[in-house]
Amino acid sequence: MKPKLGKIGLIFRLGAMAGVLLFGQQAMAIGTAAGTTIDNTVTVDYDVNNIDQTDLTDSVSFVVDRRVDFDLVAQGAALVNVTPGETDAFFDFLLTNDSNSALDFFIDLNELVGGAVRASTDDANMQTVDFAVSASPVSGTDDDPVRLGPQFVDSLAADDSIRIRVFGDAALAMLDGQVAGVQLDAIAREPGSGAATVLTEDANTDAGVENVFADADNDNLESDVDGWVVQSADLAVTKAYAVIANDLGSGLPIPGATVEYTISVVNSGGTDADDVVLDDVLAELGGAVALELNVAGAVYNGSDVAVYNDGTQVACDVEINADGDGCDLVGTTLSVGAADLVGGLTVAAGTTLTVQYQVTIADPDPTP
Amino acid sequence: MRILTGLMLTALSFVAAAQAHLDVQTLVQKEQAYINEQGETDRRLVTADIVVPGETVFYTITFTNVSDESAENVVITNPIAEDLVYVEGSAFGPGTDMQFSIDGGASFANRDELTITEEGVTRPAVARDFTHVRWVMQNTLEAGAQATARFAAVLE
Repeated sequence: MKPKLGKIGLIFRLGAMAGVLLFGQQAMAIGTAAGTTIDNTVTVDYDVNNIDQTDLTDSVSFVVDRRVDFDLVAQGAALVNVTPGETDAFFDFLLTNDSNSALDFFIDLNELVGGAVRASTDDANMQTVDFAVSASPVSGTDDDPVRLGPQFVDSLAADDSIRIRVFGDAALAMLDGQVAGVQLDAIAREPGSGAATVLTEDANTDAGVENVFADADNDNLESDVDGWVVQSADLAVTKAYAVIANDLGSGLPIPGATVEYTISVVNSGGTDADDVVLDDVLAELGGAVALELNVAGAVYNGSDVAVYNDGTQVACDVEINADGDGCDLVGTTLSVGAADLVGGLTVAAGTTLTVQYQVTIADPDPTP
Repeated sequence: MRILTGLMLTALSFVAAAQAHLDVQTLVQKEQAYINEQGETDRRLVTADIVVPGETVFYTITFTNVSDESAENVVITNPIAEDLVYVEGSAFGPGTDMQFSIDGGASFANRDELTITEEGVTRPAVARDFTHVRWVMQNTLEAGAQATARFAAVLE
C-alpha cells in the first residue's frame, strides 16, 4: 500500500541526483538529437483485499526523427565593389544547421539573369564565378575559404555554421555601374555521404530516423543572392585643333601656321582613373607634314604644354625628359603622365584632364 | 489422495498469486491536422511514428481490472522522460487526484504545492521542473472496470 502523502509544502533543495535530472531537462538550442530513443514506462501499484500487489509496468517508446532545418544568408551589407579586370573579388554566405542532426550540404552556384540583388538589378555577368567552402566551421577555426577549395559541406554539426565564399573575376570590358549577381543554393544531404545521398522526407533512412523538412517552405532548399557592382572610370578622349595664326591670315592650317591642339580626357565614371598616360604623336596632322612643338612657354604660364587636371594647371616641361613631371617628348611623341611622374596621373571621377600645346607647321619655303 | 489434493491446491494458489488483476496499456501519440467531413481543418491523435523536436506527444495509459476482485489504492506513476517537458494542465484522469514530482519520483505533491529553492530564492515549480506525474484513484477499480490517464509533453 502506497504511503499516504500529506499536503506537503515542499521546499525542495536541489540534491545531487535531482540536480542532474533537472539539468538534463534544460532545452538544447537545437533540440533532442535525431535517433534518440524516448522511453516511457508507467508503473501501476494497487491493492487487492488490502494486500499490496506486485507493481505492473508497461512501456512504450519512440525514436526522435530528424528535423531538417537550416539557413543560408549572404553576409555583408552591400554589393561588393569590383574593378574591371579584377580577380578573386569575393563575398561570403553563412550556412547554419538548425537541425537536430549533423548534415552534409550540396552547394550550387548560378549567375542571375536579371532580377533583384540587394537594392539593385542584375544586368551583367562576371567573367568567372565559383565558390569554396571553409575548411572549418565557425565553431572551429573558421578558416577563410580558399578558391577551388571544398565544393560541399561535410557533416556540419547541429547548431554550427560554416562560411561559403563566392569568388568572381571581372572582365576588362565591364562597365561602371554594372551589377553582377549570383544565387547560392544549399540542399541538405545525408551526413557523411559526401553530400551525395539525397534526403527524402518521410522515408526511413537508418535506425528508424525519418526526415521532416522544417526549413523555410519545407523544401530542403535554402537560397540567397549577392553580387558585385562595377566601379570603373569611364574615359572618353577628344582632340581638336585651332589655327592660332598664319602669315596669310587665312585661318587655315597651312605651312607656317601656328596650331593649338586641345585634348580632353573626360572621366564620366564613378571611380578615379589612376596611372593615366596620354600619348600624342605630333606628326599625325597630315601625316607627311612635320610639326614643330612650340616650347617658348610664354602662353602657358611657363609650361611647354598646358595641362589642366580638373581645372588646376600642373607643370609640364617637355624639354627635359624624366624630370619628374610626367611630361616627356620622345621623338615626335608627347607623353603626359609618363612614368617619371611619381604616383602617376589620376583623372578623378567626374573630372576632365585638358592638355593643350601649340605647334608650327613646318614651312619648307618661308615667305620672306 | 489427500497429498495429491494438497498439491493441486498449492498449484492453484501459485497461479492465482502470479496472475495480475490489472491490465495496463500505454500509447504514445501526436496530433495531426486533417480535413474533416465538413471540409474544416480539425486535429486528431495519430501514432507517434514521426516525432521531431518541438512537437507534442500524448501518453495515454489505460488500465483495466481483468479480475473478479476490486482493486484498491490504485496509483499510476509515469516518469517524464529527460528530453520531454510536461505540458502545463495536460494531465487528465477522471476520478483521480493528480500529483507531481520534482525530485525524480522521491516525493509527490499537488501541483500548486511544489516549490523550488535555488540560491536562497523560492519559486513555484513550473512544468519544466516536473519529473513524474502520478494519478491516485479516489475509489476502487471494480472488477471489469476500466480507467484512463493521459498527459502531454513537448519533445525538446
